[in-house]
Amino acid sequence: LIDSDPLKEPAHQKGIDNNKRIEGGGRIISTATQLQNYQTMRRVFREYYFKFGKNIECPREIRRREFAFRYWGANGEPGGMVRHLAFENEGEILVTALKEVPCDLYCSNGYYRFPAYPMQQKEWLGADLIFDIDTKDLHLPCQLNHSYLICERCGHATKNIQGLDRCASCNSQNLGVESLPCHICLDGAKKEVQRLFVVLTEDFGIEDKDIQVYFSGNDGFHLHVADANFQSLDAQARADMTGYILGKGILPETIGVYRKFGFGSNKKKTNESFTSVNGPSADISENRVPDGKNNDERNNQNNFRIRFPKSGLRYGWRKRLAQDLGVTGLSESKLKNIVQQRGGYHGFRMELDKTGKGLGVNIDPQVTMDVHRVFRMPGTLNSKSGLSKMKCIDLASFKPLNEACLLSDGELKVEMKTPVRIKLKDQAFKINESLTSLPAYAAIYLVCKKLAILI
Amino acid sequence: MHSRQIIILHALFIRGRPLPLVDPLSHIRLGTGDLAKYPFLNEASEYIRLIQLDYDEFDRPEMKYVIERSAQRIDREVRQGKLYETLERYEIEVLTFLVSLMMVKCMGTDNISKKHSLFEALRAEKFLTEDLKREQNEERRQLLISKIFVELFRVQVETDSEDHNLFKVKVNDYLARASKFHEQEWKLINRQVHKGYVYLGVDETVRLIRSELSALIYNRLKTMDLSAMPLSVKHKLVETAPKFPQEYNRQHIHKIFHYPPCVKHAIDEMNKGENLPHSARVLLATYMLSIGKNVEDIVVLFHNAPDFNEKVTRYQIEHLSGKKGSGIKYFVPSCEKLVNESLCFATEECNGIVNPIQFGQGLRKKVD
Repeated sequence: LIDSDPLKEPAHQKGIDNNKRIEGGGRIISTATQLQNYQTMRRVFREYYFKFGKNIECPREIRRREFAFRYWGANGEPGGMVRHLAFENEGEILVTALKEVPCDLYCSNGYYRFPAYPMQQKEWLGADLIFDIDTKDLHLPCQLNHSYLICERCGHATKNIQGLDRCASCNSQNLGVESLPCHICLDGAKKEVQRLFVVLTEDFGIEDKDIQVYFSGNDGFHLHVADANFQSLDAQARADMTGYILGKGILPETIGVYRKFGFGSNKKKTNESFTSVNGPSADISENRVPDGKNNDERNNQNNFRIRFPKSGLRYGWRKRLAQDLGVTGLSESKLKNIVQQRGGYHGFRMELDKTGKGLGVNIDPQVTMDVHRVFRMPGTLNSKSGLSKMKCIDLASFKPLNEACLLSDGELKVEMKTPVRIKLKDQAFKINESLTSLPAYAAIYLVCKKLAILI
Repeated sequence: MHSRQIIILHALFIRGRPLPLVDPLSHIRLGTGDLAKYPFLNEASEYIRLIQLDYDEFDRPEMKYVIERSAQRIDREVRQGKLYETLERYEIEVLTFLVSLMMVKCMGTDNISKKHSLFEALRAEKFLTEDLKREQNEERRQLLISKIFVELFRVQVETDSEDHNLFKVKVNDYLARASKFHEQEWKLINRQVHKGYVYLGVDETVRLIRSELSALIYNRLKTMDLSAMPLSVKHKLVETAPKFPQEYNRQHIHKIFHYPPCVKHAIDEMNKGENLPHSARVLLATYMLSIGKNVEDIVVLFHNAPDFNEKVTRYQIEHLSGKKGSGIKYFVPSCEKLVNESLCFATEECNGIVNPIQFGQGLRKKVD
């Protein structure tokens, strides 16, 4: 497949500078090479859409969705994004993908009356609930072993070493991090997906059939929820939902530990009955300034009493916390001992914060909260890796670095910026040479990761 | 012509959301006591339609009591900031509700409309909580739920199979409402959640719809077509309206200085007469105290609050300042706390501050 007419492509052609420094640590490449890179990337991506275009998953209610494309930049790197596009049917999307070969194709989670209008005029009608689980948010110990620092200024790449904050080639501090997720990271992300699945089904009552899991095409997973009940929730409601999933903001009262005010204080107790009215007596206890008048005030913050919630500790976070603490809701004395060991109410609250983080699921809250976001379309390629965003039918057996690696085997020549070890399509590559030939899927993967350049 | 006016007026009352296709409780009828407590129900409008009340009938001597009562109700709610708790027989209550709305509409001030709507919602909330707690007949309870939660607000409420006093609402219905409350205890994580339902006590369930109830009454006021007024109501209004303080006749728009965005937002909302949550009021008061404003100036900031009560507000501010009560001085809540309460509206100018008081240090002048 030959890119027949690249110069007719959108504005990304502009600005090719004859003497622009690109990746490779200071090597100058010509306009012709840049054009060649650009053409090769487009050729390989177009080939994918010819072969696997049928994999592109058409969203529900396509006419109400906003679409967005990111186009290739002049040097073969991802360039600018064009938003507010609209399509009538699946065929139109595929034809556009083949004709324009964008490096990324996105579709909104939102439904709009006028999807192609500017944001303020679109008339939002609702949005699908989508969750993003990213390996980098798991902070696994292996992460440093397979991440690289890329200089944003000269493109120099080097293994990520703790404490390294300057480019060895140009001394710039503007360093980006690229990770080549290993199977440990991806398995870790899968476990998070499974934990999220449990919360969505057990707590939120979403049916299995309404949850689709996708490999994002780079280093994580997306969960798309097709339950109409949640479509109309605004960003604030979704923020509350993400707080629940992350385990953020648990109050000791949730499990039955109440602050006890002493010293004849007539202060209204808070959270006791979990009722609140918008009257003038605010819950202001958090903001007290110990001013020396009440030396016992700090101790007072730790006074507590136990009263298990009326609705019990049977479900959701109450159950998780009760299990973690080993309390049953029948014996107050055990919980009392635990709280005393943590130093009282305040200490127990701090402990709950940590427990919540530990038991929560590591989702990216910003992604779920955003009701106007565009998401990579399933079945399309991810320009950060050359892998495909792919539905996981059986998550446990799904191997992202095999099954989502769909580019061709034809050889491409690359110049490596740094030695790398990767495993794709069950084949291990240990690349130490500067100049080498690799199967297209591996070459493109390394180019997308900014660790190699096409030659 | 007057009769037509009444019909137009009450057509507004039955403009609710569509009724469910099948109402399993249709064989049970609401009692007249329910109409007295919940005069915003479609059934109350139907009652008005059936008695074919003419404008002229408002001028009859027996209506004098209703008109007098309506004026008292508005005075207690709007001027004194107190709940009007007296409950009479339904004929009186339904008409009092109607005449109160006419009067408030005629006064034409948005602040009064908002405040009246809020207090009417609080009144209904009180009755509904009591009814749901006391009612032993499950079918009667379900009828109330169906008429108010389902028909008016489309919130499905179910009773827990094990505990009669525990309700459950769908997670999405809960989130859509409770996420607007800023208190930490309303965060979903602090609730019992299971299989798509959130478990709530009776009062919590009723609290969930307060804003919508208030909005429902406010919208009825807004959409009320009142091109004519019965003379007796008009006379009473002429007598009553001047008693209301000047501040209800003009909006208190407070000049916004170089305040942090969270404080600016609170002032903006207050200027609009919105019902600001506790935590936002605490933020506003503690911030103003910390920049050296005196109590009197801060009290003025709260004038537009729909539930404004000068005496209580002054006490609360003095309490926060450490002059009253425990003598403890309360500090401005941290940015982290404000984020958790969805009260943070950070801009670039915030520049990593951890407390609103640090905003624009060096720029802010002390204001009095």
